[in-house]
Amino acid sequence: MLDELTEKLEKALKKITGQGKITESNISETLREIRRVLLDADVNYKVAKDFIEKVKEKSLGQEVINSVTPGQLITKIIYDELVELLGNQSSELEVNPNGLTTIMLIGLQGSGKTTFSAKLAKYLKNKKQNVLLVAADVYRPAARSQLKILGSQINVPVFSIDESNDPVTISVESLKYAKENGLNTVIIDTAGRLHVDDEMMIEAAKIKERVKPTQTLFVVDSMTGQDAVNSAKAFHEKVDFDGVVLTKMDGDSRGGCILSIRAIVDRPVKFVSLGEKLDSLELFYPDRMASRILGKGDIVSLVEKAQAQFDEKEAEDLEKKFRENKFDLDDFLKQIKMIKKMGSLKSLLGMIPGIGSQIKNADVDDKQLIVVESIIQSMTKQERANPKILNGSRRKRIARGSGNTIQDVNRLIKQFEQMQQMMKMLNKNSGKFNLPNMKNFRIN
Amino acid sequence: MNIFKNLLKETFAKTKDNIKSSIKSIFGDTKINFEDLEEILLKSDFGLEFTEQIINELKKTSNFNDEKDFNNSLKYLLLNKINKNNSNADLDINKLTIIQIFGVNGSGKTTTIGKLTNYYISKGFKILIASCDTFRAAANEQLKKWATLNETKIIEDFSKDPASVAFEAVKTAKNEKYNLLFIDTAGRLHTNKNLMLELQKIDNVITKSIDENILKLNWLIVDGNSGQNANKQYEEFSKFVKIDGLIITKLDGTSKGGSVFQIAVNNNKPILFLGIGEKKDNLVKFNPEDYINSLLE
Repeated sequence: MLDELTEKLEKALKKITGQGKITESNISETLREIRRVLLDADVNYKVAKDFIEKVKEKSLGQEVINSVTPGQLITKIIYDELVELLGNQSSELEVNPNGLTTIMLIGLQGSGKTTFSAKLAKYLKNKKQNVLLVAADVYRPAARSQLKILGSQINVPVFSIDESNDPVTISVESLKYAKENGLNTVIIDTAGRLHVDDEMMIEAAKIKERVKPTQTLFVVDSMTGQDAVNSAKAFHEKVDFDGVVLTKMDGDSRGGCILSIRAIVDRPVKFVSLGEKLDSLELFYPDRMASRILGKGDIVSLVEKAQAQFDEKEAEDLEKKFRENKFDLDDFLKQIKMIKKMGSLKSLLGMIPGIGSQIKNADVDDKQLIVVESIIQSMTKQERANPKILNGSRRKRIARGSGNTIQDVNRLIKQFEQMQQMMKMLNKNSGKFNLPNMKNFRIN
Repeated sequence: MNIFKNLLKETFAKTKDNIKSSIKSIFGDTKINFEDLEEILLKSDFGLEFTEQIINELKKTSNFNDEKDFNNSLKYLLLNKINKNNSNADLDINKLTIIQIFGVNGSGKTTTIGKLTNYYISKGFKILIASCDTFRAAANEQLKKWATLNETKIIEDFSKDPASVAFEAVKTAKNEKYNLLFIDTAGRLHTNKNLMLELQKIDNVITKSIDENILKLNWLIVDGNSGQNANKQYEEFSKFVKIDGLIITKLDGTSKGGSVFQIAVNNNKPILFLGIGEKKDNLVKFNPEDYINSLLE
């Protein structure tokens, strides 16, 4: 995510690293480069201009202390400015503690509202909320069916009045339905609309007025260009919203529209949505995002993500097994399942400092995990506990049973043996167990 | 053509005013301020590189006496760059044409197919639609509603993979003497290699099942709101499938589609249609001159 922006900024910063002090002349090229980076990243031209001005102002006034290089100093200034532009602190979704929390989603067509509404529903459901999805998009053909299907995938009820073409009525009725059925969170998926379509904007405002949502979220495609500021501004003025959601961040868009929107409309980014899987949703942390942009990686969110998914007890058991060298294929399978819960491998790897840009072109194939899983699942209990007994005919059977080739099975066993080997060495060296390094954890 | 001009003029009313008044202000100072022009082009998503290129060429090519002079040079420059051959949208009704539609999620593929169907029906084509988006929930229903609206037949089968549905559709199109087959594919981010390979597979299956009497075209749909990432989209998609033409969608807002114009120029590919709304007739054939005029007049 955003690794390209990072790469480019790194390049621009290298130009002043190692120079004596910050002068008008040695900073001008860097600033020009940063402007180029920002514009290529679709940061609004005016926002980019202001940003450069600020950085320049602050840099020139600065005394360079002996212990830091001008490059480090400017990195710090750019970082601080970025964080400020992105909104200083992370912003959680507000909920209504004593009653019904209503969340209304608005945005342009194709920004990803319906997919996001299902993701949000799943996210809140995992937080033990009783969620209701509301199909208030009566215009796009089959929008209601899409939401119903997504709802059934995550076991969240979907409220729809198929014979009604009035999103206001549907939204109002949904609140009643939620109260009657003991549901405490309502997510209203409205139709995509253009910010210049007055009629549709008035309709959105009307829904908002009647529903009085706890939070209104503006959903934006991260690939949006310069016009992001216009639509954000119009939605802000005509409907108003409490936060922004950035979608499709699993692509290689540089996401500059985050900076633009934040600069034009003072509303925090609440969520970042990546991928089509319904659990690929992340909270937005401006400081981490700024770090990421500057190539410092994001080890903090990796750790937190791991913590949320790993059951403490299970981890302890696992650690013990590692230490006693009793780690078997069943444990391996458990680990793979946990990793899968954490999200895509690529997004996990992207968070580790220093390797973000390296893996940009590497093929990290989540499907390989499924292959490994299927192979292990085709083994007997005995085989999983003691892979040594896997002779040729057993391997043949497993390959056939799991729908893979014998080579796949052989490779997995070999890698597992290598991993055991590695664990042995780790144990010898430190006596303390650390999470295996993901870089060595190659599956294909 | 008049309809096109009016629609486009209305659509671009905001842009036009913007550029016009900005150019006026450029000349207000009696000297040409290229920084302002840069700003205008950047704001339209033309991208820094392309913008700088245009400005450099403009600086080289002419001396300007007044606003009109400047305007004409700019117009001429842009017109000279864009591929004007969008004849690949003029299909031959006497043979079968297969058009594969693809693009990133939410770019407007299904809606565009609905509108394209309407467009070609009005030209007398007998149209078949294949629903190869077996991924997104209810995608085929959305397409079906369009098919019902246009009274066209649709091939779908959720139990099959997209390539098999495409194969079936090609067979049906041949056997039942259709003139035009649209293949609707699932939205996919160009960074997702597996999905790109899936698209390639659909493409291969179609190519293998046709002969020289059948024309096959691949059209990439790009959201007119996209910024510079559109370049990446084009680049990646073209690595996996041949791209014959581009369609810009959602131009009824305030965005200008400059990033797609830039792609079309850099890769010498024609822009075929512009999507300017959600109704079935909100599609216009791209006319380079009118487009540029509407941007700059």
